[in-house]
Amino acid sequence: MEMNENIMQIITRHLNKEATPEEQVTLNAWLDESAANRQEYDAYRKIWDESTHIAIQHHFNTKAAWEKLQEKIQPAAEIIPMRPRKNFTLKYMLAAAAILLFVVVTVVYVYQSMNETNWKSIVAQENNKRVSLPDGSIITLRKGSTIRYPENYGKKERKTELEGEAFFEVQHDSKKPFKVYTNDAVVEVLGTAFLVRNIDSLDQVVVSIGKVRFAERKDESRQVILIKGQKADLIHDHFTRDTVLNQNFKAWENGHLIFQNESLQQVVTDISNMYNIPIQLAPEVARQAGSITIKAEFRNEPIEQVMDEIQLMTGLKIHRENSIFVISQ
Amino acid sequence: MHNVDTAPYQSFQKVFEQHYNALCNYAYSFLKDESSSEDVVQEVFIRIWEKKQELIQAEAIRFYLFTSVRNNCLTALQKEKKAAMVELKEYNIADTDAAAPMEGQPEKDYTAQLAAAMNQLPQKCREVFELSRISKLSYKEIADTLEISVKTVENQIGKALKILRAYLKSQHVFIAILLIISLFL
Repeated sequence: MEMNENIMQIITRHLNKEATPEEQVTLNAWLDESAANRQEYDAYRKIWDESTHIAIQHHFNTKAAWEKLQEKIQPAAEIIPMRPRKNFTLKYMLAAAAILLFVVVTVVYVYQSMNETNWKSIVAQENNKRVSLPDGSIITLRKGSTIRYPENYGKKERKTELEGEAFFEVQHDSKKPFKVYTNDAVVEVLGTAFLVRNIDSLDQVVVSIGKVRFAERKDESRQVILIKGQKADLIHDHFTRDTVLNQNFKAWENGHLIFQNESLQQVVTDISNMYNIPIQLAPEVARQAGSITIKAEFRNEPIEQVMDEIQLMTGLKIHRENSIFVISQ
Repeated sequence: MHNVDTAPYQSFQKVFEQHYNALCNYAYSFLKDESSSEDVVQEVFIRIWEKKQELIQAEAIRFYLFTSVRNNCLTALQKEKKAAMVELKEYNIADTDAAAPMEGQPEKDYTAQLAAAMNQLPQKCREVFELSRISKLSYKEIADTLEISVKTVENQIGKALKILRAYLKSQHVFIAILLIISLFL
């Protein structure tokens, strides 16, 4: 007997423990009807259970991964696991002495260097903010970002610290290189214009004019040199270099988004970055997002209007779910 | 140590240990590369810890995890196409054991056949079925992750089950025919 669709749906729900009591009764009756039905059900049950093992056939080392993650999310002191004590008294004492020495030296060093230089801190709270440095360099800070620089900036060196995103226009001074530090990266230049973005564990540098050295903070020998029209991402010790397709990385500063036949994927990334709003592509759209191209210009338009226009141009559907835009077919 | 509230941290570790392997396998189904699959999953967990701690003890955490891993994989695939990687450091890939060999001859046959059959599923059908089997999410949650209706999820799962059963059945018939033919040779 050909099984009807209704039973198949009930079996599907039953396997995921989602069948209602009524459906369960129907299923039981169907199972009692014939041995063939029972056999068919057993085949599905077996497929259901076995396919999990097949779908999860790779073994990833959870323990090693957790240790790696711990290093990134908590100061080491709080997460050292308790180990059974062994009799290594001398070793422990030496280790303790070494740690003590290290702590003392660090404290003295930090204390001294704090006395030496006071840091100025500037936060762009409500709006983007333009900051002029003593040497005439200009920093445009994106809303929500912070820049710090020592009060004696420019005397011996030109050093800044960034949290967030900013566009730098640096005065040329070949004797004092200009440096931007983020948590993980150092960006160094002589005189040029470039963008630094630091979000979570991503550091990104985009170069408009000149030449920039982009290095890892903990080991500056790991670096990439970028010239005009290039950009690079640094995520967890990996640099990814790419060419700059358009000027939209500055959109948060000047409000201009310009697309010259760019892929939907790129358009969505730029818009989402400019308005700080996640935009999701439905799977059927994501698959072809590389081949849909858009030519458009937006100047300080509200996001709703931008999305309306994209919708008109592409014929795709765009709706808002809470704080996310979803693009579907 | 006393003034640090360790409760969210501990549940974070629990969530991590519970889902890490499954999430990596899910990422692998997109990226086909173990190391980048692990990177994507790490990234998602770091984000949760830094930005979405309130989610850790929430019911929706599993849904959030799989959805984020999926989105990040799709982004990574886009990126992979465009960018040339500049590898500056030998990456330490965590020890990965080869999949444990299955025991028992008939079961091995069955598993191998089922694996082959899963490879034959139509793409959409396979995506829904694999997500369900890896994540054990409810059909509603799968529907939300893939942005399709619950009805479609149920239909695709039912379709997958039917195709897989038919495939396995045809394999049996095929083997039986081979046996019968060999009797006459």
